[in-house]
Amino acid sequence: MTIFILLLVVLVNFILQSTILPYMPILGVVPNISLLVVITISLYKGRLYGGIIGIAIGLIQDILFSPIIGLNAFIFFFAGYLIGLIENKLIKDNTLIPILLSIIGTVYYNFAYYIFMFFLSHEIEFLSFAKDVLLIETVYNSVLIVPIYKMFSKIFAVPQIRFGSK
Amino acid sequence: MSFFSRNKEKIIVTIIAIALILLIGFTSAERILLTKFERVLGNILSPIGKFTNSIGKNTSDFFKNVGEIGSLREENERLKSIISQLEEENRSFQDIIGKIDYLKNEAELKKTTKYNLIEAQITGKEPGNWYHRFTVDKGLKDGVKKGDTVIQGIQIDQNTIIEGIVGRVQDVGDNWSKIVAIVDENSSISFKILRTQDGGILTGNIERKITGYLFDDKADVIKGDKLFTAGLGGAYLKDIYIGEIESVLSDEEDLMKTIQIKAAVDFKKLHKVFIISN
Repeated sequence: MTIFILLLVVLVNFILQSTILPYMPILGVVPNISLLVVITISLYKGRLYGGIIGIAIGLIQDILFSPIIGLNAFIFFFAGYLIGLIENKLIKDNTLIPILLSIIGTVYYNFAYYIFMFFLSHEIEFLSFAKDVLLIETVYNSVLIVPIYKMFSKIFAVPQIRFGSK
Repeated sequence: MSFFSRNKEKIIVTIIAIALILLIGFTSAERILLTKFERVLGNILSPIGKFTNSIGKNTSDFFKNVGEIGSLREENERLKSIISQLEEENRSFQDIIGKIDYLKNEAELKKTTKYNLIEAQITGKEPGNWYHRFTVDKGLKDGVKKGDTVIQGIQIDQNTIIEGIVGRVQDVGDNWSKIVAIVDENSSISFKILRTQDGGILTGNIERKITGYLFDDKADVIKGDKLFTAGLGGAYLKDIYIGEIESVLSDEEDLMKTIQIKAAVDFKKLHKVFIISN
């Protein structure tokens, strides 16, 4: 059941991220829902699922859209795994936790992306990128994670309480 | 062995990380090994992407459209005004195309005429199908005097443009004047036939035709003879083209020969005339 839901999540996320979101950017910036989904899943499901989902989403995104394969997979994998490591030390009812994590995650994602691009000898002005894209994307993501987090809390938390099984 | 089992997770994570970095390295440089695998995966996933992409585009288009309703209305207004503007332009172009014969005649007349012409635009006409009487936009200020002859350029032969009579100025105001056309029933005009130099009087009638009688009932006139103004009484200038004889009716009892004239000017399509000022 969990695997089925996760597959569905990957697919829906893929559809949203690749088809609908690019058509509604705010100030020219598209939110990174994939990252938010990885963060949320690893918060609820731990490092194993977080890592797997991170690799899966990242690889699909890379293969279909990116010239370099493995970049998003690497970043998403570590995002999911590292958040999964500290998952049991966090209070999940507090909405501030995912917001904080999304801010950290967005900065981490863009910074890691920049480092990879730097070593693959793609020259990007980091300061102007940080000013124009990173700031807006961080705000955008930190707003968007709230509904995503609430939605996943319904999917994952409620059945466990109702049926008393895991 | 115990080292591996104790640090299983760390090792797996490290292996995954190394594998991914290797993948990045391979794919960013020469892409030989993985292209085939990639193509297969792309073949599988692309149709899904295509399908979802169309769904996504439609959905986002919908949202976009909802968001654009305000601007749509604005755009609609703007386009409507552009359309009416274009239609207006189109009308004026069609107007010009429709007037092309007249405009050609007008230009030719201006070149060849020996009179001093005042160009006048018709501003109004009496109700009815024909222009019996009409007003034009030139008056005393422009040099129009009461009794002046009103003409239009007429193509008489293949390439000859001459003055054709329209009527005369009946009343004149500061910047307008009233013109009586020769088809008006109150209008009389003396004529002469070019071929035989016979004279007579023409009047307009209620049926909007010009009929007339000849002074000499023995005159040898036939259909197609050309009529010019004679200038008797000074009402109209001399030697201005009127039209041709359409039919000749002999009336023995009245001792007169009546003729019907086909006027050269098309009174239904007047829109611009010239006033001869002396």
